[in-house]
Formats: sequence, C-alpha cells, structure tokens
Amino acid sequence: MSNQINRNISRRGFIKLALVASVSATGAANALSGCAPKPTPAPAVVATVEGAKKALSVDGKLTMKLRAAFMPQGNEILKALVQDWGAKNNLPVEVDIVSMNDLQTIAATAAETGAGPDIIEINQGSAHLFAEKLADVSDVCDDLGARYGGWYTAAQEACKVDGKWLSVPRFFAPHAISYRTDLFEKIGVTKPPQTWEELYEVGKALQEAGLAPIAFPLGHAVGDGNDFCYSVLWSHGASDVAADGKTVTIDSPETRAALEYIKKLASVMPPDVLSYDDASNNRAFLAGSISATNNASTIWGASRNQGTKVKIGEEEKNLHELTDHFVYPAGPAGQVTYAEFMSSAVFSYSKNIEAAKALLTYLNEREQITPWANPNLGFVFPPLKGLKDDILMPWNTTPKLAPFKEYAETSHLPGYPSNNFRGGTDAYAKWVIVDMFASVGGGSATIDEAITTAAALLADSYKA
Amino acid sequence: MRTIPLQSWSNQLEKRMEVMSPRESFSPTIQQRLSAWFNQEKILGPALVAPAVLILLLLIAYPFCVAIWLSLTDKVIARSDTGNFIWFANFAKLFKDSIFQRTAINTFNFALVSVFFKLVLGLLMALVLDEVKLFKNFFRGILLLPWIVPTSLSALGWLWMFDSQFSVINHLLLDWGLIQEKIIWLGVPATAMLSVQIVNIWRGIPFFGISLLAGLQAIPQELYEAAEIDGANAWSKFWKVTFPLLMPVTAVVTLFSIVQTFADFQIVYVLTRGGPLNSTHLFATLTHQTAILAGRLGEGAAVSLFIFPVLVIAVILQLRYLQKQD
Repeated sequence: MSNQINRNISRRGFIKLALVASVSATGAANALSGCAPKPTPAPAVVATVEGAKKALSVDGKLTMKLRAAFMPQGNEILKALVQDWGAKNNLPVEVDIVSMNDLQTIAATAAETGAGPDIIEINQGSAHLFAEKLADVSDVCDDLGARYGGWYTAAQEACKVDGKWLSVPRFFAPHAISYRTDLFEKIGVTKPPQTWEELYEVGKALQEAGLAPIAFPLGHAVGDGNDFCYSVLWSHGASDVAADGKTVTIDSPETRAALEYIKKLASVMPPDVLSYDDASNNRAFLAGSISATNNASTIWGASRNQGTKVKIGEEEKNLHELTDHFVYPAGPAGQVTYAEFMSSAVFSYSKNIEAAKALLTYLNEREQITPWANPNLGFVFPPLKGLKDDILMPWNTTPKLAPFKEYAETSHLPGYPSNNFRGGTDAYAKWVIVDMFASVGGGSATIDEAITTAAALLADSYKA
Repeated sequence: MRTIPLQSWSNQLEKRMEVMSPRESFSPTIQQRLSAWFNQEKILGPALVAPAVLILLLLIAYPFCVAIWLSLTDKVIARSDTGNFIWFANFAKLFKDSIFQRTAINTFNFALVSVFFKLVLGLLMALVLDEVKLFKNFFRGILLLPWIVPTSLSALGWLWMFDSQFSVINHLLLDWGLIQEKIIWLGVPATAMLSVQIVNIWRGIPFFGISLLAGLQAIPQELYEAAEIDGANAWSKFWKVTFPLLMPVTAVVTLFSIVQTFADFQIVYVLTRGGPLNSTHLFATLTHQTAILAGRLGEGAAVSLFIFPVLVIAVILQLRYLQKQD
C-alpha cells in the first residue's frame, strides 16, 4: 500500500499532502475548540477555614512552587500537607517542588509577565525586588506573629517592604560550623572556638599537626559562600552600607580587619576553597579531607543517612559520630550572621489571593511546621520565635543540632544595617562581598584593591 | 471554514490521484480547486516557507527587537517607575563596570581560543576519520557523542573531573608524575578559564569533525590522483588540494561555531557560575546574573547585545568570503 502511494505521489504531491493535512488538522482543532464546550472552570467551592472563617473559592486551581528541601521525606510531607489542606477545603491545589535556581528564574519571569503560579517561594530579599507585583500579606503575618511569639528580625528584613508584609516568612536554612571532634581533640581542642581568632588558631594547629585542614568557601557558593563572608564582615563590625541605605561604608578599618583575618585564615585553609560551590565542602568533609566548614546540618545528616565511614588508622568509623557542630564564632563586634532565608510570596496577579493566604497561614501553624521540620534534620528553621522550643523540633530532639537553634537570633540579610534590602540583594546577586574576600584570600588583590573594586560595585547597587 | 477529518482528506487526495490520470475527465470539487490553487508556484512557495518565517519572527526577531528596546531603557523587573528611555546610558555604564570589562575580555578569550582549537582538532578528526575504513560508522557515531549529550549533563560530568578533591585528571597526572601537587582547576582564574575552554572544545570538536569530513568526501578523488602523478607528497596534497577545497565548508562551520561559542552559557553556569572572581563570566552568564538575579533587565539586555556587533562582523566577513568563492 505504501509503495503504491509512493509511486503515485510525486515529491511535490507529497509535500502538498502534508501541507493540506496540517492545515486541515489545525483547522479541525480550531473548529473543535470553537464549537466544543470550553472545559468548565472548577465550580467555585465555598468552604470555611479554621481560624480565618472566610468563604474561600479558587479560580481554576491554586498553584504553588516550592523549594526542594534537603530531605526527600521532608518534601513528601510538605506536599501531603498542601494536598490535605486542599482536600479539607475542597479546593484544587497543585504543588511543584523545584530547585532553588529554577525558582529564581520562574519568580523573575512571573513578576515581569504577570503569569505564573499563585504562590512562589523566593529567597533572601527577593520580596524587595518584586515588591510591586506581590500581594500584601500583612494580615497573615500579623496573625501568625501574634500567635507564635513574633518574627525574627531577619524575617522582617526579608519580607517587610515599607511597613507592609509582601511575603510570608517560611524558613531559615540555619548554619553552624560542622567539625570533626576527633581531629580537634587530637590537637587538644575540647571546647569549640568562640571567636574567629580562636578558629584561626585551631586551623593553624591542625595545619602544623598535618591533620585535615579547616575549609571555608570563598567561591561562588550561593548559600555557603555568602553565609561565611557576610558573617565575617558583619561580626568584625564592618558593613557595606550605612543605615541610610545609600552611603557605601565598605572602606573602613573594620573591613580591613575582616580582610586581614581572611588573609590569615586562607593561609591555613586548602587553596581550593576558592573553587568551592555549595556542594564542595560537603563532599570534602564526607571524604574526610577537611576538618571544619560552615554549612547547614546537611553534612551530618547525609553522613548519618548514608552511613558514611571514615578511616581512623586501621579502623573504620561512622563519620556522623565524629561530627558535631558549633555556632558561628564571634568577631570584635560580637556574633552577627548572615540569614539564609526563604519566604512564600503571593503574586498580585493571582485570582486566588484569599485562598493562597489561607493556605500559607495553615502551612505556618505549629501543627504543620513541626512534622515538616522534624525530618528535615535542622535544614529548615521556622522564622516564628515561639516555634523553636517545640519539643519535636530536631534541635530539641538531637543534641548535635542544638547549635542551629540560635542562628536566627543573630542573623541578617544583605543590606543590613540599612533598610535598603533591594540594594543589598543587588550586591548579593553580583557576589560583591564574596569576591572581595576571595580576591584577598586568594592573593589576587591587595586589601586596598579589593575594597576599591567592591566600593565601585556597591555604589551602583545601593544607588537605585 | 468547513473542516474535514484528516483521514478523509488523504482519501480524497488518493482518489484524486486516480481521477486525475489523463484517461478520465472530471468536474472539479472544492478540494480539487484548492489543490490546483496550491499547485501554483507563487502560492505554494510562500505557503511552505511561511511557517518557518513565522517561527523566526516570533521566536527570534521579536525577542531581538525587544532586547534592543530594553537595552535603551532603565527597565528593572517588576518596577513600574522604570522602563524610561535613556539612550545609551546602559552601554556607557557597562564600559566603566569592572565586572563587565572582565567579562568582555573573558568572552573573547573563551571564544577565540576555543574556536581555534575546535577547528584544528576537528580538522584532524576529519582527516583521521576519512582514513578509517574498519568499523567506520561505529567510530563516527562514538566520536559524535560529546556533541549529542546534553551540555548540562556532560558539564556535570566535567564538574566532577575538575573537582578539587576528587579530580580524576589530577589523580592521573599525579600518578604519572607530571605534577607534584593537585591542580585547582576551577579555583584559580587561569585554570578555571582553561577548564571551561577544554569542555567547550571537547564538546565542539565533533561538530567540526563531522562537517569537515563531509567536505573532505566531496573532494573529487581525481584531483588527488592528478597531484600524485605530479609527484605531490601527503603534505603538499593537503595544502594544495584538501585545504583550499575544504575552505568553504570550514568558513561556514567556523561561522556557526563562533556564533555559538560567543553565546555559550551552560558550561560556565554549571562549572563556575562565572567565578572565581568573575574570571569565567561570559556575556551570557553575566546577562543572566544582571537581568534575572539582580533584576536589571535593561542593563542585562545591554550586556547580551554586546555579542551582536561581533557576530554581525563575523557573518559579513564569512558571507563575503563565500560570495567570492562563488
């Protein structure tokens, strides 16, 4: 049959057949969509939500995109919670869990085009970038804040724009220093270092003893690199901007002190910290080749879950048993840390703002936060002060995670100590602070050069 | 318009084919008239090209014009007080921006070095493949792999190979005694650039190799025979016969490669994100950082348009050359 056709239809005939077929197919499709009844929108469902007591309805379905957390079971629980809420309220909800990098692009596109999910999880100070396109969620935040002991400062910095809450704080990915207790003991350190200076001394002693070095990321590591560099900067009393949000203050004796410190610290770290991304320090620690690094609780969590072994002499030991954490050391200005932070924003183009707000209220209540935070082993930390003492929070059930409990108290967002978190987010996106530290730590610039370069970039970031 | 299911259309056409045989006469139906109308060259030609033109207009020309417009404004994502026309302020600002200056140098370095090596090694690959007679298809297939595997995936593989701790490359070099200590591939500006270039070259060689191989095989064998009769050795056969005749293909392939390499994004994004110290930022990755992460659409568009003049010049030069050949 097909041979028959081939013989009968010339090349041109065949092209024509294809063309006609495609035209008619499109025509048919158009005609179909024209006459066939449009898929009926889901009937507006009326339901009551505990607490809110509002009639909720959803146009189409409520869509949300969330950041994938560290533990897969944490993501599953989160999805189940959302679906549960949808079922309870008889509302269709679609939840997607995506990687951090994708979220950022989706959010920017949605904000600019006015099309996309109803709810999206955004990082750091993104609410300041998208402010105009986000719905006011002050009622949700005021309600939750009143019920659970108020919000941490960093949560307010990230989500409050001109006195209005434009995003609902979701979680900190709290940081601490993961370290090898056995190696620290070998050089006689039984109490974790309290200050950056003491940390350097430990690093030096480890180096002299020929043990695995300490290693803090100076590469473009979105979480770990920023967390480390901003924390060192701020705890030395330095800042990139003044309280007015405009004056660049990076050229200061305090910054110089912080950079001197990095120079010193770099001499006891492996040179590859300049290439560290967010996963490098985890890998190096899990392989036993470094003895301390800053990270979320994921190194310990992974080594426990995977049963990672490390060779001590002839013996193989469980790495997680030799791993513990201590809080970020303090600098001359005390302990000031960088907040690794996520919040959930509702786009103002959404037709489901009320339903979205009800869902976000639900997800941030104690009954939902705890079962989600628990299996995440410290990777998620609620930004409501009253929830950290919940008995089932991982840092309350697992002594090794205790250092993560205080992180949120001292942490801030780029832009601190001003209110210009838009400018701070801009500088953060350009890696200005990390690169300043890296250029001094790696020896490719003098302290003066590094400060000059950073100052020019910061002036541009904080200008707008 | 009355629509008829696909099946019935083709049936009709088949019938028409039978009907149209010269022995029989027929009175034209709508379909037949329609097809006669389509039969005209001036209708069929444009009709066939139309979808492609439409796609180009929608997906290339329109975004391109928007990018030009954006680059002349101070547009910032999600801010209605922006989008004002500011002439060339974005471009003027970029010239003074230390990250941009670095990026411009990087991009030229990255593209020119990579394309040069892709060309040389690709030519070598083509010449070798041309000689391979045994398992010819197998070798051709396997050498195409770097080109076929999605870049983001192969770049992830390279990320491991360049890992400061576990680099298999370091492992081998140390084992062979070629280096005394580990090379920090992605942590030092010079080696980081070298690393992304290596990956780009590795990925691009097959494209050159296969295209040039096609060119090689199109060279008439008689020319070589004639050269041999004149006493040419392999070297002069290459320079006097192969090379000049391969030039048109080489020009086109190089043009494509320059365009693609200048606009590369994935390799750098996966391997270094532009680090360390912005030493591997390319126009494309800086555009992403500026426009998406920092939200400065206007400035980001300006960064991306810096590729444009370079590409226009490349295209003009190449097309001129090809015209001369004709």
